[in-house]
Amino acid sequence: MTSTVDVLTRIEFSNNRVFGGEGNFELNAESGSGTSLLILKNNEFGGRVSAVCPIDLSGDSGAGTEVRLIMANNVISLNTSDTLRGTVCVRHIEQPGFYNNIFFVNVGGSDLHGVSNVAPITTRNNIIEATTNLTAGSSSGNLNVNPQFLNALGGDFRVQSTSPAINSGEDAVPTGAGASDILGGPRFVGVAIDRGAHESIITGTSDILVTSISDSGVGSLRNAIVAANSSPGFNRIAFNISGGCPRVINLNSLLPDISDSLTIDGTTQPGFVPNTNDLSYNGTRCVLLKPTAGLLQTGLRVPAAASSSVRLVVDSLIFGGFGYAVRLDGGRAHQFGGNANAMANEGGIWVADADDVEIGGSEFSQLNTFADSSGADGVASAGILLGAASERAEVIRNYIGFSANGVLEGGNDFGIHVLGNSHVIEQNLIGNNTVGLFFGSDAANNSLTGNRIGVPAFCFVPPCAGSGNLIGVRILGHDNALVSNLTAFNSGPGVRVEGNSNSIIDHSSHSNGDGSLLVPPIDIASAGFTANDNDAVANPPMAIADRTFRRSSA
Amino acid sequence: MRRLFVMFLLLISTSSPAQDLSLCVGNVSQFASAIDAAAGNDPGFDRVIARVRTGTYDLSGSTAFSGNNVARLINKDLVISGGYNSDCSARSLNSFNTIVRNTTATRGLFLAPIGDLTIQGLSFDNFEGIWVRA
Repeated sequence: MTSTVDVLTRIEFSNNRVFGGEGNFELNAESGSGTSLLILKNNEFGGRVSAVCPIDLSGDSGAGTEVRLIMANNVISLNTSDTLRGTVCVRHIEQPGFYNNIFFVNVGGSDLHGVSNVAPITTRNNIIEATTNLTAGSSSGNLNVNPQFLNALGGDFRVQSTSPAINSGEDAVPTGAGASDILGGPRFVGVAIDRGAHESIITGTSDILVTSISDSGVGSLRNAIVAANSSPGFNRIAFNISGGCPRVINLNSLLPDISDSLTIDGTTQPGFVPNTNDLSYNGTRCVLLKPTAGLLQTGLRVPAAASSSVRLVVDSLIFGGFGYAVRLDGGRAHQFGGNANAMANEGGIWVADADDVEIGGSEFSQLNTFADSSGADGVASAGILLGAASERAEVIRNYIGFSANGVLEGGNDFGIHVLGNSHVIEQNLIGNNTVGLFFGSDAANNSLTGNRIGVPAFCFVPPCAGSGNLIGVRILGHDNALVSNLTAFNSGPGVRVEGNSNSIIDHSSHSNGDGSLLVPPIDIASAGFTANDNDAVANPPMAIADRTFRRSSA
Repeated sequence: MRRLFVMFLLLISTSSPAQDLSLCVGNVSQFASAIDAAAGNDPGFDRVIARVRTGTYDLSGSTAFSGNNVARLINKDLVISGGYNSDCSARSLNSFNTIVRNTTATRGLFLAPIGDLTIQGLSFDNFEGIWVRA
């Protein structure tokens, strides 16, 4: 039996400027016996003086505590620390990760110093001079160079156009890098995110323009993909097709595989309007890809032969009539945001063998909708399929089982089908599916947090109809963690657990089942009420809605 | 009345897991009130969102932010976001536009949140002591 843990705590400090002043800037995240997040993104820390550590980040020393530190796209410069310590000190951190930060000309100790009990650090694409008392873990892309600030002494940490920080960061920042840089400009411009807190307007890309809805020929999407594949570097396909939204591109055959890094940017088609709503999709997508007739196996595909440096970004397209709209067999750190999987695809996005894929995101404009994925051959299809060879995908704030406007029903066989490991599924709305989330027998160490499963996007006038799945969540795998999710209105159990050592923590459940006493809200081991379920309440009525359960699976 | 209560529960359970108290902050007193709300135990909301208008806020000497140099216990989830216009209906996320200061030698911001805490879009200008201890 796995013990339960406390509520996850999240401390986020983002897009702030801390300039001058004395004493420690201290952030501490601890949760007694739980997992906490400590996030610092897009900040500047400059000219701060401390007798110890100007920036002090810590977790808890208690047994069972896990603190995950994500420090990304910060500038840390011109600070003064104790010579035996460092500008940024860390202690009691189990998962320390540093991405795209710029450390430059700090006085006293090192840039980054471990005080005590810090696990091996992940460092990617930082500009950093030195660390002390820390063990290197996963490390790549770090530089020890002058970032070429415009005027550091004057507090201006933007960089010159020749800076090595431009377009050289790691895009796959855990929990996302955020939509805005420290000045409120877009965080992603060009072939890759910049290092530091500022994003330059230098793109480093070559645009290839689609001007035709034709399947092939001059100005077609097919020609654009061929051109991008043959042009080294990160290219972008933009759209400017005459006519109103949506412009429909009918495909007579499969598009070419995508073999080089590429953004396909549906936001460039005139008429596009981004979503600005958290309760539905109120934007206007303007480019639709579909087969001319019948079903095509895939819409867009990154082949297995693509190296891990190949990255596909798909922004704000509509897909209809594909086996899978997008299939990722190779490459890494792909992004899929603002898209609609609609009009009877057999499947939405299949992450077959690619790590660190981001689906959705924290911004409204990144909201994807996944609807109507159903296997025509009797094999269940999914809105999102995270294959057995994929790891660390982040599926954040999508509408799964809802139509392109995010309101109408559009159930999939499986909303999300998880076969791989270490994925993060957070704050999604999942309804109307046969099974909202299905974890296969080998799915392990996945995190499911803050999702709403079976409820509609919003409800202003009760009584409110639900958007139930047949089963909210079904788990055959092991060591997965469900934290602070809500299951309601599902016609079967909210959660059915058949695998071992899964944790269900601070779970809210109501109005699941068919009204009989045979469906526990959390159904463990054998179906229906058994001795495993005897501390749960059958079908809690509305009056005790949002009852919280703290359970573990056997 | 009981029916209304049940309907209310239905409403909150199907719309969002959390209920928010959103406050538009335009001076230090309103800023302190937002912290006080997050430190309180009002069951009517789970999260306080303090939308801070652009401008300069000198927190020196206010115990609302530091509990008189003892960590201020924050019982609710708390979001402090800078960059808002005069009625907090629009936002420009430029950290240079919303400045907070503390010129005293004590900790100017000393919070102990039980739940989640987000601080975004502020400029801490020559600010002494920022401690957040969950």
